[in-house]
Amino acid sequence: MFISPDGWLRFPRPNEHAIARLLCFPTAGAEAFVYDYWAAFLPESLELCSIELPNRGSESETEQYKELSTMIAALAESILRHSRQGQKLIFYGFCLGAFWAYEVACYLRGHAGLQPVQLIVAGFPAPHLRSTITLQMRTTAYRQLMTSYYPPGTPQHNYVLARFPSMIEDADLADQYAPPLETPLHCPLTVIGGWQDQFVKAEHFWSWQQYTTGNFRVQMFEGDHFFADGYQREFLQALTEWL
Amino acid sequence: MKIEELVANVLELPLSLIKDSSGPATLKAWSSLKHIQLVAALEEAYGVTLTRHEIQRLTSLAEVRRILQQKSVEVGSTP
Repeated sequence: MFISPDGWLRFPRPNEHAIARLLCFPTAGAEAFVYDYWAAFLPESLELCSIELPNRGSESETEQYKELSTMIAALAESILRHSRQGQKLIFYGFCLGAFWAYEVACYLRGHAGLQPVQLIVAGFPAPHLRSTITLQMRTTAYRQLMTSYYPPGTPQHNYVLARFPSMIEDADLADQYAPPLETPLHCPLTVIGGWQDQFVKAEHFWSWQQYTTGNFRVQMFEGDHFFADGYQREFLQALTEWL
Repeated sequence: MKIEELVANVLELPLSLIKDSSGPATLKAWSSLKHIQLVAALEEAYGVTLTRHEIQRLTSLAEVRRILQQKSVEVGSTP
């Protein structure tokens, strides 16, 4: 395990010989460790790197950020500082993590002239529609739904409850101004969604198409917003095949 | 219950599979949900509270043992 000194990047299984680095952007309120176990499923050719976002309470090791643009810049600069020469970058973002991944990709293109070789987003509409999700995140119905997956009193239930302040802080950041789409990315873009997603309308998954001039596809699964939790092994196997 | 037994119980794995190097990056059963469950089990069994910093560094059985020892927990003994 390696955690970058600035606290942004977490490498469960560092591998300098990996041909590509899979950067995983967590959903609202989530912590980087949620991706650790992916390393056990991924091939040696992929180096897993999960992103630890700021605003995670008083113990946070990353600086607190109130402005979206400065947070994205700081994260992207950390990715650049810790990149390995010749290693390709693949971005994966789930839910709000999809928005962070896209914003970082834009920053890297504008400031370093590089793009990920693939952008994979799951459970989230295109950036210009993000308020359809962040508005829901502030509702009682959202809280009830998020806590409904685990019986009250269980560690998982308590964990979700403890993450709500960070979820709202993430929503606040995402609601800030971000430049509208002008020049699409050129990398392949894969969108993954659940047919029964409670937050994202199925047609909104296709709203990403205008964000790339590269190959574009939408891969739908049976299940709700957290469809991947139901069959993680199969999901990661499919993800590896796409890569 | 020894610490490796506690980990094996939470992960629902045979004790023989739990090594010092075992962690989320090596054991497919050590999912994020199991990680949260493990934190709760450790806190309850050893009467400690793990900080966020410590929770993030429970990356292997060896690290679990090290962090508990730092909190003056006598690992290996019956909680």
